[in-house]
Amino acid sequence: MAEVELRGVSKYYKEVAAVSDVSLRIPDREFVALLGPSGCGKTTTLRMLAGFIRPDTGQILIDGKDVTDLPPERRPTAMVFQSYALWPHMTVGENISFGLKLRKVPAAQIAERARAMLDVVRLPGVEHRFPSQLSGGQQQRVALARALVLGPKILLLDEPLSNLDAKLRVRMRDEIRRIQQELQITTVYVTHDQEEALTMADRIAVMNRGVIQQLGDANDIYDRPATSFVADFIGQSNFFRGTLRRANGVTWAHIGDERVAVEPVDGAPDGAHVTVSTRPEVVEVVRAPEPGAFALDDPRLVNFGAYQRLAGRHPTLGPIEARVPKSFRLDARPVYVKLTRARAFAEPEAEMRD
Amino acid sequence: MASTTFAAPPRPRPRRLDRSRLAGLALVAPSLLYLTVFVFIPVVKAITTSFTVRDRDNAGNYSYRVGTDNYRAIFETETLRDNVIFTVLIAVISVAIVFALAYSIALALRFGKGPAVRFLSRIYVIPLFIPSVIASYAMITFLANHGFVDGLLQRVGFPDESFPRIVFDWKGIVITQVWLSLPFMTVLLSSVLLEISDTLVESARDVGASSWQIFRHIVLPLSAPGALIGITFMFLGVVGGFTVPYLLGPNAPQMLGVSMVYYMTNYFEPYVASTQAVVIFLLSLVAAIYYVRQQFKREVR
Repeated sequence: MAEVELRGVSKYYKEVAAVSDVSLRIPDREFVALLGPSGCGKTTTLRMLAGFIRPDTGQILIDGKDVTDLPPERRPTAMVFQSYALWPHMTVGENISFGLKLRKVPAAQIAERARAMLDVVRLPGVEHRFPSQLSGGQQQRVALARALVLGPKILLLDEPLSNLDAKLRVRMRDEIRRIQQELQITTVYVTHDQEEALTMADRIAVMNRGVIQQLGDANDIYDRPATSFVADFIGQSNFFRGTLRRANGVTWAHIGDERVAVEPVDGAPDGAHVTVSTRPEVVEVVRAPEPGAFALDDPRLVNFGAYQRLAGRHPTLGPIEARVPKSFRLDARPVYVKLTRARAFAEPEAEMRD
Repeated sequence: MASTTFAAPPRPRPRRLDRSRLAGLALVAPSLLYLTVFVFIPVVKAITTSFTVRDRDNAGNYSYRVGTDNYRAIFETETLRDNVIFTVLIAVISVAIVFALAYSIALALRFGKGPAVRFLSRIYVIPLFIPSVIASYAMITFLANHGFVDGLLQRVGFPDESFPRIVFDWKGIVITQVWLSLPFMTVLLSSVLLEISDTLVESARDVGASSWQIFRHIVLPLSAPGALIGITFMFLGVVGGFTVPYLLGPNAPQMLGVSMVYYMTNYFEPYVASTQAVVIFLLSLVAAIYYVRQQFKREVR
């Protein structure tokens, strides 16, 4: 199949950069998710890959061939739209075979390929129905079949599951991943749903304000967020503001007159202002004072069914949350938390959480 | 599995003529009355009149009987038959021209960009606000032989008598009907085209369709039901039109609307006039049946 590359691609609307100098190389057969909040530039990036939007700067290459100036009808990409975009006046069979007909494929072969593709998306025997006679999930399968029947080099999916209900979304997630694995097709998937991105993609590009904030697999993004935006957008995090200090080989973030050990930070001098984050599930809860443990005032428990969340306040650090097992009980004993695996980000404060 | 108990289904309430039903009848009554007085009764009356034959004996006395003579006259008398054919032809030609023009404008408005399109989108509705009488008189002074356009052409060197006969000719009717109907048809087609979402067009491009193929396989079929409704309405308007053919049409053949008035008021032949009215009605009925069938198909979708 094929490899895609974006080289310094930007797109401006008036003065505002929707996508700003994005570079991304997606090797053959890889499934990459573009993840971010609305307006982060993920859809614009996808539409530039498809050819619906022409980038203002930069290049788009497919298999090393520059396709920047090619219109969508001449690119080896196939797109699945959020709204399915099935043609309502055509049957399912006609929808799937339309592209093949335009390519003057012999009729017998068209029918065969359409049928085979409906088998791949596990929706056999609906050729003669109209899209309006199918459920949302079925329509999405047809849209997928229509995109795949032409044997595209790159499959592009624009929030394909956001119009489905939650249960179906989870099922279609596995389906899309299965089909992608079966056909071994290079895939770019746009979503604002982190769970979709984390469960489906080989690699995830987290975008914000037209920029890729971090590119990595689910573990990189979740365990080692590169920016405070990623730490905040993916999962949940406790945040603190502090100053960086290094002593005896340990990196510390000084927060008020307290200090928290953080993972080593490159490229930020001592004294730099940092944002410190740590995930609630790695916050350790203890019931007796010990070095590095912070007393939690006013602790409360929130039940999430599978687990509980302990929330409280430290006079200097501010609000802190920790994930605790369901067996955890509050009693007269005080509660202390240890902020393990904290990460510090030296970045302008405006970058944080918007 | 947890067991669930279901409540017994509620008993259907007995139907009776309650307040809300009375209110509904009261709301329908005025329009029903209107339709009866101004539509159903005249239609029935016109149909009975069209089957009434008036004979005159040698002494000049009239006698009346029921018969199909009027219909035979309409389709066997040359002038009357020509009027029917002329009416249908004018309607078909006007509708075809308006449709072609309006569809092009609507396509430009829907898919085009730039200042030309913006300008077009503002001016094309102007004729909608000009009454047909005014438009017809304007056309007469504008397009008549020795009128404005002819004068202009002669001034730049065209010889006299070279300007074609437009006013008091079928061309005059067609041009004016086109001018008058264009905005309505464009408004209608524009809204039909707006209903076709961008993603339907984009997905077609994505599978490799050229602009022409998108038009042929996506835009045209998706807009066809709405477009045919517009065609139906315009056909009805032209077939039953009076003002434009009366002011701009030739003396012979005449469109049915004009001919009807002449037979009614000048020749004192209400029987032939009524028959012509029924013919107009039947032509409209064909269009109306078509319209209803289209609507029905839409609902089935």
